[in-house]
Amino acid sequence: MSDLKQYKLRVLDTKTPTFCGAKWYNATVFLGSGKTMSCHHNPYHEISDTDVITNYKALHNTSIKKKQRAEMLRGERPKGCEYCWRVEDISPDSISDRVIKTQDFSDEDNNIAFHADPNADFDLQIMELHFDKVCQMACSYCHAGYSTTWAQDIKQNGVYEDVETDTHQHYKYQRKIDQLFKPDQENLYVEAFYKWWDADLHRTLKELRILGGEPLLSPHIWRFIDWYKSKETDCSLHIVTNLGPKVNVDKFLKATEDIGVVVLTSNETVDSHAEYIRDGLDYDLWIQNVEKCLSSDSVREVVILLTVNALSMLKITDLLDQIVIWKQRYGKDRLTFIANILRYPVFQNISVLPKDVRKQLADKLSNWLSNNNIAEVDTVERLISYTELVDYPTTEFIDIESTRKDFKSFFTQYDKRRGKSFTETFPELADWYGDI
Amino acid sequence: MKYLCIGNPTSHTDNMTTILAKTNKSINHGLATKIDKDGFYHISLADITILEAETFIEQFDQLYFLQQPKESYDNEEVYNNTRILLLYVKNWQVKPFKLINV
Repeated sequence: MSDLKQYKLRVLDTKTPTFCGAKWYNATVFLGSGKTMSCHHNPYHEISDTDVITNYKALHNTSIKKKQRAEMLRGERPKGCEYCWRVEDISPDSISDRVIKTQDFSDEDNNIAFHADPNADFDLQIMELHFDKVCQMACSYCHAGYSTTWAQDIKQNGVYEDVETDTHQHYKYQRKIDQLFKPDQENLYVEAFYKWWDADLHRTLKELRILGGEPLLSPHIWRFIDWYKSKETDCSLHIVTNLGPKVNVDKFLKATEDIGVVVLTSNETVDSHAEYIRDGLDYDLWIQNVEKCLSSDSVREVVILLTVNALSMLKITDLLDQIVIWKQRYGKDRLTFIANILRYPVFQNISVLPKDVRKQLADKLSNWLSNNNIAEVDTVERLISYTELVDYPTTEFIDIESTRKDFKSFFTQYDKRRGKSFTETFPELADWYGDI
Repeated sequence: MKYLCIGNPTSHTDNMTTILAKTNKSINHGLATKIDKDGFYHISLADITILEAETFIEQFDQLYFLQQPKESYDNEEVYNNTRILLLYVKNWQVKPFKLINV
């Protein structure tokens, strides 16, 4: 029996069939738009401004989460946690993310959560924090909720038309409402976070991940780093940055001299392919900035986050070659990578590519893996199988012709708006693209 | 001039819209579905999403936020979304608005 299965039997199943420690100790909080969710699989919900003014812990301990905790304690399935329920319904042996996430917290803390009043306020142990959505880039798979540059595209050029599978409405709104406060205004959610940090979070948080937008361009970031340094804390600080143009990496490394931060940076391919997908990226500058981080004592570890999408698969092995070079030069534990497969928007999922192309790409990646000795074997093997075997992005979208139609419709508009050319950037896909 | 009252998804919002319309010598056209005449309309964040509301309110000259108690909303997310919309309108001065105590 696997360790995870044993853990589930011992820690979760002895509580209720739906318990998840993340509902108590883990949260993503969007301070710019006043939203929260328990984990990245959950839909977010709005945080009551009136509750936060009187109780800063309401940033995470919303009445909606408290209701969900009560449901879990009764063995019921909160609706927002659908992702895990679907996995668990496949077979009684399936291990969903609630098992993996609950492991992040001690048995004692999980027991405390289980026996506590579901309406009690809990201090977070793992927090993902978005100050705002200020971002200089507008990646093809991102949207205006996470990027001011994306919002600018929609404002200037209007919404993207004829993208039927955009059910998450990535390209339909400017999402101005995701930036509730003007830059010079006091943000009640930010102030609540600082109050909570001073009172408890500096003690209880094991890991704090700062995300954006691009967090190193946020007006909040420098105040935050000073604040972080003002309290003695064991909390590990993770910054998720695109290391792109306008990011002052030198200033960041100087400001974090005594901290030992973990830098997570996104990229999934190289050169013109990367610059096409991640609009606004300067690939050579990104390489330089990663090397600055790897050479700096301010940085404990660099993690490359690969958001693997259809177009990134063509040259993904070139990026992996670069990662291997860095591992050799700076140490294999100093730089790691995680490959997450993009599911939404569905038309940028790997499955949109023709089956024969996917087979070739899977073989190429498989060859690469057999010639390279890396620790991240599981993540690459998963990617190989997915590329070769998965024929549609989700069970909602099994008609791959519809997603292909949207792929072309979207990138035709993207090219016009962003001054790019799909066929010049990806000549190997030009015939297929032309025939869609 | 077109006016939009934003409140909970109950008849109380419709009644308040009628009172406000009468006070302003105007008419309550009811739930804002077709906005083609001057007068008062009403909506709740149960009828449209908060993202839809962002563009929807652009059609009106003035907004009225009904300060109904939290308990009068059967869905807390609808209440919180209404508060968020108010914050957005207020902070960015998106439209002239009034808070109506009930």
